[in-house]
Amino acid sequence: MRNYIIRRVLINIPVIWLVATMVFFAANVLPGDFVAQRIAIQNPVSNDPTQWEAQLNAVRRDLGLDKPVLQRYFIYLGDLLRGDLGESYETRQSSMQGFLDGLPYTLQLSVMTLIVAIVTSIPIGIISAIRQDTWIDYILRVVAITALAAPNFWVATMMLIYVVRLDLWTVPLTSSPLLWESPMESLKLFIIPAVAGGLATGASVMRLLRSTMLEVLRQDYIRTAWAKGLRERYVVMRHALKNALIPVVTVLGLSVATLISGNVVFEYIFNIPGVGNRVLRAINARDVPVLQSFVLLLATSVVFVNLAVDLLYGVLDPRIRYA
Amino acid sequence: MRSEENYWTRNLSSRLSRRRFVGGATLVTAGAASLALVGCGDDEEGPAGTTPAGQAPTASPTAAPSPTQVQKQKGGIARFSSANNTWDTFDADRSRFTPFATLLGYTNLGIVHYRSFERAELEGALAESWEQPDPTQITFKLRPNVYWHNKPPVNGRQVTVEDLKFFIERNKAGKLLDGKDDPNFYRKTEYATVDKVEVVDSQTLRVTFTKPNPFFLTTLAGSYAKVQAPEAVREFESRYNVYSADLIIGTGAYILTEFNPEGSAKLVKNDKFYDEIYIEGVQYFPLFTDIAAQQASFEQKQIDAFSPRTVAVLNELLQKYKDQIYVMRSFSANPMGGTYYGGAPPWSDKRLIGAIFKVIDRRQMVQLLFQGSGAMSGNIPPAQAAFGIPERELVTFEGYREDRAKEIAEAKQMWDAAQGSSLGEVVIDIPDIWEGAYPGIGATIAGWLQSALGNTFRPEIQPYSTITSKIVKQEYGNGKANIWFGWLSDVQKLEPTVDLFLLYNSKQPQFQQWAVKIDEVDRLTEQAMVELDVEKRKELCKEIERHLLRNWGAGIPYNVVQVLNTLRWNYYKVVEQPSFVSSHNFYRDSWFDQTDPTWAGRRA
Repeated sequence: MRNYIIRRVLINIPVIWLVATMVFFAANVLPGDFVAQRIAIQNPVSNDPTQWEAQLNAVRRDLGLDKPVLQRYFIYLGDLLRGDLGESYETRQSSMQGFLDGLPYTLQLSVMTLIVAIVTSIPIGIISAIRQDTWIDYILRVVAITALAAPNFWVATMMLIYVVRLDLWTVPLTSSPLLWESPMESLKLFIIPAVAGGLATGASVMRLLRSTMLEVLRQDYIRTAWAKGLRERYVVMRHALKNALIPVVTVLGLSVATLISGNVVFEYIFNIPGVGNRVLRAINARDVPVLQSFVLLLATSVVFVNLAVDLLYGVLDPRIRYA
Repeated sequence: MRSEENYWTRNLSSRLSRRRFVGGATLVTAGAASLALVGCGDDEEGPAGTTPAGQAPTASPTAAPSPTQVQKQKGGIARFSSANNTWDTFDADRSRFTPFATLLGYTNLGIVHYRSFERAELEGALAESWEQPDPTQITFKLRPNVYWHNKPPVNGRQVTVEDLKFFIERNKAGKLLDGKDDPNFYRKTEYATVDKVEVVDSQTLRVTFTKPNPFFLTTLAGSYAKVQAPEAVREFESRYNVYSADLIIGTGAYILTEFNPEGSAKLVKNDKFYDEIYIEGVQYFPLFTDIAAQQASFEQKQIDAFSPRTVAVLNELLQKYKDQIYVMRSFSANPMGGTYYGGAPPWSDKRLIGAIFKVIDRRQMVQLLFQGSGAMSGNIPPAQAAFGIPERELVTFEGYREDRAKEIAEAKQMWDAAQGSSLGEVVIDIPDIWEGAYPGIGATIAGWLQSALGNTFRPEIQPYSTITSKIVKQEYGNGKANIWFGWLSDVQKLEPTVDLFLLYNSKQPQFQQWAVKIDEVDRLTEQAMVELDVEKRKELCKEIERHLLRNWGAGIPYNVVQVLNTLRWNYYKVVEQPSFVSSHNFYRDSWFDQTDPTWAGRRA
């Protein structure tokens, strides 16, 4: 097992290098560089043409952007090896610090979304499978397809508007508290995006679980379990569900990665100062160091979440062994 | 056509006429309340003892007590949504970003500032008073007992005349501490006529000019003309691009205690401020990212002001919270328009640019962009209306007339006479953020031009930085059949004279961006720059605007301005719509009426 993990980590290093290289070059060919943006955006037509280039060059020098792209790339890789992700052009603060500041918000939202997804999808998926082609199955499938089809940012916005309109509770949009800082306030803020995101993720998980459950329920060992006279609850939960969960765990593992990036929209709408919100801001400001370090860190987290998912297979199915 | 008549009837008959409007920056949102508005009004309405800005006074005004002062109450923390904040530097002398100007208004005092921007009244700030014995000299008397905020390295010491001297000399020199010229001292030219700055005694500063400068007090009242402590500049000059609350050390009513460049800030009142402060503190939240969240925050009283983007939302909220909220209207400081380079073909042929000028339907633009909540404008925006021609005259100019069929027919004749069809495809660059704010606007404008003039007009979405770069490199025209439309620069002054000189006088570098040379405009702008009588300058500016309009905007083919509607709960009282030019007045002109029924339920 240890050898397997070490091998997987070593394989991941070139993946991360490739991501770092792609992000660096992609970010550096974005139209409209940060410097021009900074000089231009506030006063589009009152610039003195004789001073324009001087102003641009002064800021470029200041940020080290006067060097050729390849030179900057090798400086970037060198800094990366030393664990230095660079400073934000905009705030002059460490990119890593910005990421770490945003991470608790993003993790909390992702975990809450995942909980909503699991809590809704697994019971519904099971019921839908064991009551196949009954009225309850049809209703649950319609609900799942609706949840999949409705854009989750729209659902979230509508929920926000109706919470305010019906005066259900005050959504603390100006304070963004974390769960361990102010549990009730935090729930009031995070519950709407978590439900909106969780329903969409849960709908796809529910559909997958239903189909794998149906497949498992037709296996010989399930038939044997029924023949032994085991109770339905025991057959379904003990024998069928455990085996049906393997592909579901894969999907849930991958959805952790998509949740982190998908939360950009929710963080944007609900003013949650998470990683996604900061990435979006960095893109708008052409703040390349922040953009490339955040994307790199997110890609790295996806790589390691995948590794964790692979290891989890062994827990769910003892037949799977890593060497 | 009917709706256009309604629009004009409404605007001309409204109390919110051009002459009375104040304006605001588009980049600023609701709480914007405090973030960015510029204004102008009738000088003759000012109370006795006040001085219209730009007019050379013989002595400083005395403050007249406000009739509403008796009702003011102390207490409460004001909460607003921040703008889409971007920051260039925390060095006041080298910044030109309006969110920073707003922040400076809270934290730093200038030598003088606007007592009322709407009424164009100046008053002393760090200077308690001033005298101008002749047009080439001003003497300032320092206000006693003004202290810097208690942050290192200044540590709350008393303000001295030397601090004021340092400020003026640094802006005049435009150099960094190491002696190098820095092009980012954007206002250096405004100090060019300063000859000497002398400390007469511990309370008196004398500034002498090489020639009469009618605009020096206006320069000192500018939103960035805030005095910084010399020792802070010496310590922070190389670090002003690290946006930290520690770097802002002022003398203003509020002390910046927390700052996050992503859009949050916290200010607390300065207990050693020389005047009474009503609101205890100010907080900004980065809610600009989503208008629905901003609206929800306002409705749940988490923020105190909100500017809806659509008239429908405005009306819905006014209906829903009838008698609980009120609206204040103001002109946006950022007009919308475009520019072209007229110094070479194709746009040096005035018939071609005239045709485009006439085809743009400004009334429709106001409807499309602002659902009617806006106004057409000439080269002088409504925020500077006292210096511009009135609407009734504006609508007589070609391009502004109501008979659209006639305008379009004439435009087509001009286009054909100049062989416009030979230009082939005309590209219209549209800023990405403009298209984002007004989806489809590029295609709409292109459609008008195409159906009226016959050529293919193709909108192309570009970053603003690309567009600005092309403007200064004279790449709109100058051998290419292209133009751009979007937001123009914000209006930061009450008086347009200096800007008209810088932008349209053919001897000035900025003029090279469009290079539409008009001899009469050269003569009139030079005359206005040395005219000491503000009333005569107003007439000169109007005459300049007429010439610019007769020359198809002289580089700017159309101008429309949005009217911002800012909603406030009834408990939140303001004397005058706050602005980035006058955010220093927030401490005095805003307060919370805690006896008002709407105060109940406000989030603590």
